[in-house]
Amino acid sequence: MEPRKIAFFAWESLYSVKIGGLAPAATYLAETLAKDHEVHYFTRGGGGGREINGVRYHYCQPHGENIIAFCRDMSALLLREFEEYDDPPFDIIHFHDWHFIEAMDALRSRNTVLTYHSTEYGRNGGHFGDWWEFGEISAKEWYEGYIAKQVTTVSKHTKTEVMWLYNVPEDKITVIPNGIFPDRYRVRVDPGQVKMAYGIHPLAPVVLFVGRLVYQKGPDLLVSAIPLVLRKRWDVQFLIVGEGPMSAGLKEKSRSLPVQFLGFLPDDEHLRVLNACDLVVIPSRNEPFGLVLTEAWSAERGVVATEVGGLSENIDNFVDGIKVPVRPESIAWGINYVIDDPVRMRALGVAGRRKVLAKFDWGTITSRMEDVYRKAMGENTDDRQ
Amino acid sequence: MVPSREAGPPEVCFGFGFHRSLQINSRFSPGTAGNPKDLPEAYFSPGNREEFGRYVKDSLVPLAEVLSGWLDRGMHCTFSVSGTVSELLSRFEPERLDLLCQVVSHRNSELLGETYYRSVAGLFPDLSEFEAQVRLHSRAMEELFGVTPRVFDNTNISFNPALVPVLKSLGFSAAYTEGFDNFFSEMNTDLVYSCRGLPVLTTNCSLADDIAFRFFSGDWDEYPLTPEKYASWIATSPGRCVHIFLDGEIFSRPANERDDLAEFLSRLPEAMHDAGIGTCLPSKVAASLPECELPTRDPGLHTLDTPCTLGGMTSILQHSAFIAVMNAGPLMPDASTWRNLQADDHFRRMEMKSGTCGRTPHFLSNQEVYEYFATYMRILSHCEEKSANRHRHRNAARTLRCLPPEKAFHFSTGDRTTGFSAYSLDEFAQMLTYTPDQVFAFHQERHDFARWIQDVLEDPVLAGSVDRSGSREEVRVFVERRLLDLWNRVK
Repeated sequence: MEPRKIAFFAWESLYSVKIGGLAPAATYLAETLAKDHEVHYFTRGGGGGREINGVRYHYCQPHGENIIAFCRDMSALLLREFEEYDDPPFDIIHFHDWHFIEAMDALRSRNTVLTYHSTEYGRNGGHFGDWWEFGEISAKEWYEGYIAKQVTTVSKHTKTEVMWLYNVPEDKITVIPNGIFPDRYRVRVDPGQVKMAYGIHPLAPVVLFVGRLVYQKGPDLLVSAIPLVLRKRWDVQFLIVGEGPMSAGLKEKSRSLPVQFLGFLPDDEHLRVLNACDLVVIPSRNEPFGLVLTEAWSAERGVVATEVGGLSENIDNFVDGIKVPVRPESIAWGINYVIDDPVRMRALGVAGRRKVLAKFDWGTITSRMEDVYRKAMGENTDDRQ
Repeated sequence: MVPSREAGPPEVCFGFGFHRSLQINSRFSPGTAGNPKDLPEAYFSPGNREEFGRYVKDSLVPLAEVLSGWLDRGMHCTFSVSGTVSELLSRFEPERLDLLCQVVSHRNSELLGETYYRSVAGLFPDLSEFEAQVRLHSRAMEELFGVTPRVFDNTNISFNPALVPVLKSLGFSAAYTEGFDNFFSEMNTDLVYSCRGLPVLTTNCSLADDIAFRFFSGDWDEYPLTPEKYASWIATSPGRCVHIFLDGEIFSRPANERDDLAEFLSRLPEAMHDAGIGTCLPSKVAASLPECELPTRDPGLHTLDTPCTLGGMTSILQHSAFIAVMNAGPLMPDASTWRNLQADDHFRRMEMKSGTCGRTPHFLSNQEVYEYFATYMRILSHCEEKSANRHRHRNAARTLRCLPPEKAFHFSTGDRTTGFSAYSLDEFAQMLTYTPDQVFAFHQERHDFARWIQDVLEDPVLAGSVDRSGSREEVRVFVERRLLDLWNRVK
């Protein structure tokens, strides 16, 4: 694809505010695109604009008494910033999730691409909510799908979900999973040393959870599974990385369990823990893609995950992970099934890494995104495929 | 790195192991141990003789008979016979020795060296005990079978590069290690590796397990396994020589399964012949194939990355037992009991899943594993305690002895156990390096450490120092200094 001028609107990035999987997904996509294109990344955060790894970042510091007002302010601030740089005009404007709906509405006549990293329904654990924000955000998600020139989703599951929830026409949607730089997640560590640093016996099997402590991610399901795991294997230790509104309740519930809540970890420490653990558990109730999965695979870790969304699509059961139904008994069964067998856990991790290298490399993913950009600009992509 | 095969299928090196260890007495209780003279017997199961008789009848004899047929047809076979098996045979089943001697000393056979007790001594930092046991085994093999082993069988434990100088000095020209599973390996396990100048051969676990347990599994998609099918798998294996090691215990099956396996093995030579597969012996292979340096970090090989820090053990209980038995030497004048307790078999029973790589798999529950460990520790600590009372440095020996679970120090946060327990003062010192501060403070405030050292380890001097200490590091330094002093006294 010839060099283009591309704008990203995403409310988080790796270098400012980082909450969940959206930050690495959008940042790395932008960085890979920036090798061939001019990429501007409009996001929130302090400080002036700067260039990192070829991507020009534009920041704002929005205010608002609630999430809706906050995002409206963010849209307005960044739209002004965008207009300053819109000469020559941007060829592609790529929006991530619903947060910039007002900006998108203002730019609806342009070549817009929207990526649904998840839906409000999904973030709510696959349930409809009856509070006002749920309705507002869902309406915005419907509208953005309606006005976008092209839509991408991170999994077939999310594609089906937005078709069902928001009537987005199927021919407008392309499934493009999140990519990963696998080598950034594999580091050589002595697992025993890392475990000892957390006061864990060097030979204790360690199960890791990484994610926000919110209902969607199912940390409560994992905590409920722990006593069931211990019934069959007494020495398993659990590390929970991440924070969220469920934190206090979960800590209280696990007072007498071998669980440590590590909160947010700096990247290098996160990598040490990831590469030292024996098994990664992803107990999500809803998971559009599940970046934790490809991160774990990149580090050659075995995975036990619930059979939902992108996890279900991407895991080959018993080959590169164990898929279990969304309930504590099944999660415990999955952990017990592999935890006694280091060889099998290792086999799952090795198979996972092979899959990451073959399917989720950013180079491959980015060229698929460029095809979507061509479609948004009205170019014929058939010749290039 | 992968040798190119000019033409034809690889050769096969078939190895058969006859290993048994003395089972410990699961009913052992310190209170009922009886007369000190009867003690070694009280530690080991009274059923050992009957069990060994069954093993000989069901496994050793039928396998040896099949292999006798193989050897007479010109097939080559490699054997590994532990000192314990030869000793038990001489004691309980002397009439079977001839059969074993016939196959082991056949012109088409090669006998491998190993530790007499098939022990974990090769993982000790001090390898003098390992060396003594290898010498003991070689001598026993020479006396019984008239054969001097030249290739060492290290398939029972992780390969420790520190063994190489010892093996070379004992005249070994190559060693075997477990190939684990080719699936993980970026290297080809069918070639000869080299570790510090010693050729290292690796076994093919996958092909071994096809016979050792998948053969009997009705839901295996390759079931039933025929000799022709198996020969075709060997023929398409990479490398120039495939090493398939099977434990004699694979015959410990119900009679009908045993008969099926015996028939399979009896027909295998013909199928291999038809597929153009020849057999070979390890000493020749080691001398003739290309070599590459043994990759200690390759997960496809069962090698020891950081020698002796964890002793190649994979579970907490194994590790505690390993430290206890490793340190027991100077505290146990009865070398035979100590060495029998070093057998790798005890450690396999301290993990929930063991076997594979040509061995019959064992699946044990959490409870069974713990009970085995508890009995093992009770026996070892009882033996050390009895010996300590006769030791010239009685007090030092008592403080250094290992402990049964009921006397161990169980670390706790106050709300829950931390998941680790010290079964000796040595292990206590190790655990202090990573005990969380919150856990340390909880115990120190309650004077738990000092009380344990005073009441259980019977060292009031150290107890006093520990109780006066303010920090974890201070306690650790006191304990390590004291350990050095005590070990100097008893050694």
